Amino acid sequence: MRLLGGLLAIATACLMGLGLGGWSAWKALEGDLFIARNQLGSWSAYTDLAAPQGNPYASAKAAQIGGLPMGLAEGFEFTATTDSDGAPLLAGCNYMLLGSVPQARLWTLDAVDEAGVSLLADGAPQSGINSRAIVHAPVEEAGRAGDGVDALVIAVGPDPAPGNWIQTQSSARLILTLRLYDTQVGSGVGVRDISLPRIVGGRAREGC
Amino acid sequence: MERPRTSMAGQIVGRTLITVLAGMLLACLVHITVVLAIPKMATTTASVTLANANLPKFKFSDVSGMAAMSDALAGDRQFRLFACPFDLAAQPIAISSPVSDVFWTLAIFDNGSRNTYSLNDRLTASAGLELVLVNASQLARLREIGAQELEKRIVVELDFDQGFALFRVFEGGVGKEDALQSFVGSMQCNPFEPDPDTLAPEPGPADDNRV
Repeated sequence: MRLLGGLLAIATACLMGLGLGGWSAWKALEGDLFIARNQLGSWSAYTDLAAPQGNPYASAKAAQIGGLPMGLAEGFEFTATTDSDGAPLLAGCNYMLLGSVPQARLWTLDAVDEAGVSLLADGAPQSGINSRAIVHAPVEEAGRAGDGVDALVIAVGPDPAPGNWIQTQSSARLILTLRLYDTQVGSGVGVRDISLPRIVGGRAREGC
Repeated sequence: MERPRTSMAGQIVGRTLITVLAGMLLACLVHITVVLAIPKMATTTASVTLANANLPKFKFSDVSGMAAMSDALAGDRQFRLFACPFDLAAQPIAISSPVSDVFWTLAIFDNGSRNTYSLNDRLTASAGLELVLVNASQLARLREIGAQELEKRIVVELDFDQGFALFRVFEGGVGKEDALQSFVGSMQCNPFEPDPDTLAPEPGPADDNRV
């Protein structure tokens, strides 16, 4: 009887250890616990994935994402999965990015789904847009954006828009990636001290 | 002597407590093991893909089209990626590229996706890129023999031997196709051997070259 009780206790401890240990590790990575992650409005950025420097959670997260993270001298990456009101971004809806992009020699903006597959419409000219091929907004538009004369207006969605337009298709969840190259963001300039475009709903569409 | 008898309830509480404590302890161990094991177990990362791709040595190969690279969350699709695997156990590696109009960055990765050193074209705007990758013992050896070429190059000391150098070259930009092709065609990744003529301070012809 006593032996049975002992075995039961060992089995319970083992099950508890495996279950709780595995679950907590998964939860920690999923919830970005112990990982430096900055949230600025809709945009978020990991700051220590490139060189985890002894942080095993950052190393594990980097391996999970599986990419080739950019070093600080290369650039800095932001992703957005929600609009400025917190609603999930959908590739089938229209959005406007209003505001300004922090100083960088080059920036690129791309639209992908949660698996990293492009959500750009077939025949769209290239993989997203970049700062070297962009139309700057006239002053009245800039005023609307509320961020001074450097303001940008970028339309994202299935319906054609004048100026800068990233044409998306499908109804999947949309992730916008904004990558700044050769920038002080993350090194000289703190991530919290910059301003990034707001993502607001554009022309209404059915189901949005 | 008769042993003092504890109550049945006390025994159960004690045993439960020990079980829970053991479970928590084990959970901590499992948690730590899982977190530490993920980077080693990951098989779909870009660096594992590159390590398994058997890319040619001493050459930058275009890896933009490889499966793990085309994942846009992993990398920018407006850039082309060129990788050169290296193993410093054999010899130091020299990396060079010409002055160019195209925007590029260079990163040195270990085989575990750790970006250990990076730079962009601004650092080498006036002259081309000349960089040497060495490990600690090679650096000591090169200094010992007085390889003066090191002074003209960016010397990067790595704490690992195997990894890869990665050029990200911006593909966009109107009218830059020729510049891009010429830049891509001139990137080099070679074994580094100091030119014997520049070695100091042994007596001989090398002395004539010294200032």
